[in-house]
Amino acid sequence: MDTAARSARNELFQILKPPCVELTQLALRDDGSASSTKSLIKSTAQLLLLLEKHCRTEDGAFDEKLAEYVFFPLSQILKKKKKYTDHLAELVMRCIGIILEYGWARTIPLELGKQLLILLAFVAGGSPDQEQTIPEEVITEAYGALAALFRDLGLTPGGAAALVDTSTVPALGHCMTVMLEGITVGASAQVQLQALKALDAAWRSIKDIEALATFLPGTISALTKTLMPGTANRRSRKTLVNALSVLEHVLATILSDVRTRSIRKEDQSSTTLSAKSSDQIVFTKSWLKATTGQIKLALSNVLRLRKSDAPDVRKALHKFCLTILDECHDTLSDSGPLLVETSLMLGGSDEDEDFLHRKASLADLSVIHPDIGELVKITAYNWVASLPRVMQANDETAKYGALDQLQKASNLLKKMNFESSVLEGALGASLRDSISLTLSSSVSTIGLQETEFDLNSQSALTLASNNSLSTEFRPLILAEESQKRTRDSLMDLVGRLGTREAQITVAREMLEYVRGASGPSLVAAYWLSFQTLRAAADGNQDMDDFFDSALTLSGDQEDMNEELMAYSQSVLVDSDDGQYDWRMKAIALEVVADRAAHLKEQFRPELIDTLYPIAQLLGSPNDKLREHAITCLHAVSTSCGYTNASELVIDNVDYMVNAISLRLNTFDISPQTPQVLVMMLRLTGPSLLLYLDDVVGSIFAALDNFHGYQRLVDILFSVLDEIVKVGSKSDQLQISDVSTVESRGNQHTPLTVTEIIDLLQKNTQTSERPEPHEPFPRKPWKSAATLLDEAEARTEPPPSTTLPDEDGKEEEPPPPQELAPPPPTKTYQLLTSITSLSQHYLTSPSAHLRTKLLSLIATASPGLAGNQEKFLPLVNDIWPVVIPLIHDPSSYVCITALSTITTLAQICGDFLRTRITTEWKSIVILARAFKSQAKKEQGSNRGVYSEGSKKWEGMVALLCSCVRDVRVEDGMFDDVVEVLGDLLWERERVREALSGPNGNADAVWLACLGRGGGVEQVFNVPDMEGNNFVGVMA
Amino acid sequence: MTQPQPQPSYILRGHGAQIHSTSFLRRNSRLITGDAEGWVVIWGLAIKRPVAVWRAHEGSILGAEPWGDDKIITHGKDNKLIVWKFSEEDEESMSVVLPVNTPDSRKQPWLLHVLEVNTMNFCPFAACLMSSQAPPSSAINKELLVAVPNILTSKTVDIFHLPSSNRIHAVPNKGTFKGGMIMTISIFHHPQTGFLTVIAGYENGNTTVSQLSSNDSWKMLYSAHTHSQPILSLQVEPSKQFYVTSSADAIIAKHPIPMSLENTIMNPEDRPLKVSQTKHSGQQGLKMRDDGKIFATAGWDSKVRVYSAKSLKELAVLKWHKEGCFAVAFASIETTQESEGNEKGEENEGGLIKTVGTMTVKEERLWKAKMAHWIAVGSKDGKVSLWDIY
Repeated sequence: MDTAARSARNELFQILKPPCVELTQLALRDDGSASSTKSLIKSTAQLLLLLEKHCRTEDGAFDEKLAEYVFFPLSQILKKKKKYTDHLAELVMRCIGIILEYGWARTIPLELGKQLLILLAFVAGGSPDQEQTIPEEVITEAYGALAALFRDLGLTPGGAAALVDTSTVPALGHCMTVMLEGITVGASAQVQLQALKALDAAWRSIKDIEALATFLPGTISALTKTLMPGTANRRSRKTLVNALSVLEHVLATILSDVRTRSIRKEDQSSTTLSAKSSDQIVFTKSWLKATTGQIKLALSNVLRLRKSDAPDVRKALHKFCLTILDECHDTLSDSGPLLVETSLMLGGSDEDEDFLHRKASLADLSVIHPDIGELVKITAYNWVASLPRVMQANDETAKYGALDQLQKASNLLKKMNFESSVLEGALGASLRDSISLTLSSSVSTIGLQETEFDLNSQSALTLASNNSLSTEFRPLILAEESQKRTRDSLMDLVGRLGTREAQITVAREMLEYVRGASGPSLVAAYWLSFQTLRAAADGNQDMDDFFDSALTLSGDQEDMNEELMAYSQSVLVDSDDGQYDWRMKAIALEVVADRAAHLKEQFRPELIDTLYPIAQLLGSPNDKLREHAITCLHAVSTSCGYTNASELVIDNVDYMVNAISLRLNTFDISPQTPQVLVMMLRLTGPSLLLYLDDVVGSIFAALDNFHGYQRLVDILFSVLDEIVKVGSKSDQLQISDVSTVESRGNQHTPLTVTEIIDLLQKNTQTSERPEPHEPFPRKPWKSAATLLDEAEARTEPPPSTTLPDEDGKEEEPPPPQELAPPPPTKTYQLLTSITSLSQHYLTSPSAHLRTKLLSLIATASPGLAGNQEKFLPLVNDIWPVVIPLIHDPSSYVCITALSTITTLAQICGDFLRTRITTEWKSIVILARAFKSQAKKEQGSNRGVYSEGSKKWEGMVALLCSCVRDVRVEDGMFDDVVEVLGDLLWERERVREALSGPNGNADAVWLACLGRGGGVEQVFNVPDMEGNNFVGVMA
Repeated sequence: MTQPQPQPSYILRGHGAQIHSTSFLRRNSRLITGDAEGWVVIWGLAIKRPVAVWRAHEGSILGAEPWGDDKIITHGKDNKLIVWKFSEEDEESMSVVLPVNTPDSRKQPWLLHVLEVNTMNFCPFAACLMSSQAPPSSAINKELLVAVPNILTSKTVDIFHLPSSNRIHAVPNKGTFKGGMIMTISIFHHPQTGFLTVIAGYENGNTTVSQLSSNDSWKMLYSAHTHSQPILSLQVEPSKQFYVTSSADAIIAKHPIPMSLENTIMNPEDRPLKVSQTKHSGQQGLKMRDDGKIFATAGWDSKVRVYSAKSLKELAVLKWHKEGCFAVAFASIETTQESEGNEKGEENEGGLIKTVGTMTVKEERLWKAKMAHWIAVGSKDGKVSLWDIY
């Protein structure tokens, strides 16, 4: 080994020798001229290169002798130089640095060391009389070299002592000053960093405490200056981290508990200790007191760094705090609160670190030092108290910062098993206040979002298909996007609020508070109660599965859940919107959804009470609440095992009907109720109608009581309208119709001579269908004309009419009759009563309602027509109110009236003849008026969509129907022909209607001819075998 | 008296015809209703939905009562009295589609006995266990006595024995007594003497109490002509101290039940204990709660009236139905208290694991449904309203 080392050393020597010799020569010859300087630089650079290349080893080849050898030429250069401002100086410094670092790494000649100390301090600090002209690089190298020098001295036997030797102390002092200056006002971050390193090395190499103590104030003040965050001088993160570690070391060295124990004990053991040695003057109690006071000040400045953004700085600070708390716990006890608070704030940033490398945490420390635990508590309490104030501000960062801190504190307390009911109670109250503050500050924005609920575009229908909608609620508290982080923190904090017992207690207290409070704090407390309970449930689910309730408090929790649920239901059921903030209802919805999620299918019976209130909120004017209700429905349906919300509604429609009927019965009518009913009808269909008779009754009663309230009447009729729509489609209607279907004499075919003959012959015998089989009391006695028509109808295949379902039935023989006809079905009765009711409202001042009613009649009629016995009296009832509406001032009512009457005419046929006849004059006048109006408006750009045209079209349809279905008298027919005029040959449908069996084809033909319109184009020349027709005009 | 008008807590919809019979069974967990078309619906009170629906008779249901926990007796206008086996397990297989939806036939429960009886009038059957002393679960009480009007005349009472289906008694009418048809019957063992007692209400407004004395002959102990119209219903107070009758007229009368022949002086003009002129005629389906404190009548004027059994004073009027009501039923509150005790006892036995008050939500709902002091009212409109009062 020796030989190997020696050979390596020799080798190195051989390498280093030539440049050293050369440099020596150059240095000796140096006359200060430019050329010689140049060559000096060149060869120094060469030497540096070699040093960098070969000597950066720790293998011992580059030992102190070689170092000395290399240093010799350098010292020569240094000797010659007056100032160290140029490149040469930098190179030399670098060389020295390497030599110090590696060559003298183990030992350094003490004298040389001292000299170097003076030299380097001089280089780094510059001479006091000079201006600051030393380049940064040189200073940097000088600090680097100093650091290396201190290390070397520290390692060299006797080095540490030599440093504090009376002869060196002044130099050392100067050196310290220089270094501290370098740290605080160093030209660049690099300089500062190197100075820091040097200082660190100095503190580590000086073993004499007394000496260190003298340097302490300066060091602390310099470091504090460095670490103090300020706008004037921004430090690099690296500097900060290093400075922190230096400060940590400094404090730990001088003021560690171990070291100061004796001092602190002074008062007990009198002054013997201080008297023991005369040179220990510094370490007195008063000194300590003064020092700790100063250090507290310094720390308070330093710890402001906790607001730093840089994670490494925070981490370093955290470590610093913990170390100081640990090492100097007793000495710096008055700085304790500050340190604890800081480390609490910063805690958590090291949680990801792996276990082995983790330093003692605050929790560990608090085990060692109980007072730290107390401090943690106090800090947490202060934070809790100040939370509402923070939350009130507009600074989101501060908010979530505060919340995060609180959470950390509460985590820590949990970890340390410090449970304090006072603290938890305070936390609960503080959270509540905080939330209510945030709520009241955001209240103003809500008013803007009130929108009217539109029945037709209603969200209720989207329920039916869409099951991809989320079951997540939109956040209620801190809803804005910018507040997301605050919200998350808040939820996190609430979620980890102490033990389960504590959570339940908080929830209970909050609920109690809710019962007695009002205003935004009500919402806050309610929300908090819900969230804590939920958190308690979430956190302990696994436990509950395995352990008995007595152990896990699940029973208590269940009770609490029940209580909360009961309260939520009362909130939901309350239909008085003014009483609760909408958010209360929204929270209640969340509670219900959560409960459903918890109970799964067991929740189904609860739907008796809850489903309707939820559904009712679908009609809320507040869109957020509406959204919440939709989400809640989805969540509940998913939880209860339904595939989507509409299935939920359909399956539980009985519960909803019940709720609605009970409400309507007490005239507890909110606009939502009918809307929900409409939704249910649309979703469930006709089968629901069977259960609705009393609801309809209640609606009638409500209509009676509130007929003055247009909007309400309107909305109630929209329910009836929906019932009619659904009902007229239902097959329930037709069940009883089988026996009552009769030909109504509205299907006529043209009479031919042969048919008349046939008929007359038949009539003398019996009619095709034996009369006794017909339902006897069904119809009034028939006139001969009707019989005639019926017979005709039977001989011909019935043309397809508005009621296709009768085609098949007509063929069947009537079923055997009972004594009394079966009573009409419930659905039928329902529709009849609705339709007959509508007559009382047709005179309503609201044009909209009139239209609605007219179309309701039109919808209901075809379905009801099946049972003529009931239907015709109904028509009789409503006719007097319907017919005047064709004169209605608002044209759309008029148009609807026309089409409704057309429908009635189609269905009732003959029945209306006398009624039409009485009204005929006014109808014809009206028709003429419409016609001229339509003509006038033809020029306008709306064309067929103009008011006049629409009315005219309605009238045309009515007239056609009058002729085709009602069979008007001849004089009236002529009126029709006259009014319709050109339309006769322009429109095939009109012509068909008029020349149909009830019309008069010949009259039509004549009219066409008389108008000079192309009869030939319209009417084919009849073709008769053996005869030829001649053109009329010819 | 400024209390708000009481409101029903739930409406059971689904009968297609008027409801003629309501009664609670299985400790209030179920309600059985029968309608004019012979349909019977058993409702689960916790979920307020049908658990079983079937057509028990071709004609109108006159009465439907439970027999123990696993049997149901229905009496229909088709001259049949049927005992069905219907226990909780049987419910699963039953149809729950309500009669109003589709009048198709449904599965019927297992049929145990059929009695051919008289249903000339609308008198429902009355039943009592074989022995009032023996506990209901004892062997002798597997047998039942059923009282119905006589098959031929409807003027006397026949008592049948189940399961043998034999007619064991015919309560004779003294030849002199002309009451017309029997409208309503009650049968029980007198608690003091243990004698079988039959109370009947007649078409002419008369009511009689007859007792089977020790020498196996029937004696009429009491007869009063209080009502001017046919008696519609009567109900015996639970401790058998008195009974209350209602009729088509507006009178409600409270009658004594004589202990036995010995201390009754035969008097053709017995006096009722109390007569109350209610001014509301046509009160039917009189039922008394099993604590004997209140009773209720279903009025043809669509109102249900609750009276105090002591004073015959009207306590409440329950108005919801739009049409006349025919049937009323009280949930038993005695059994709820009993069962409460029982269940607590059970819980204590298994107390190691279970603690009191930790019921699941479902149980709790059931519990609430059982504990509620329900009144069920069946009406002509085919709906049953449930009221939770007193």
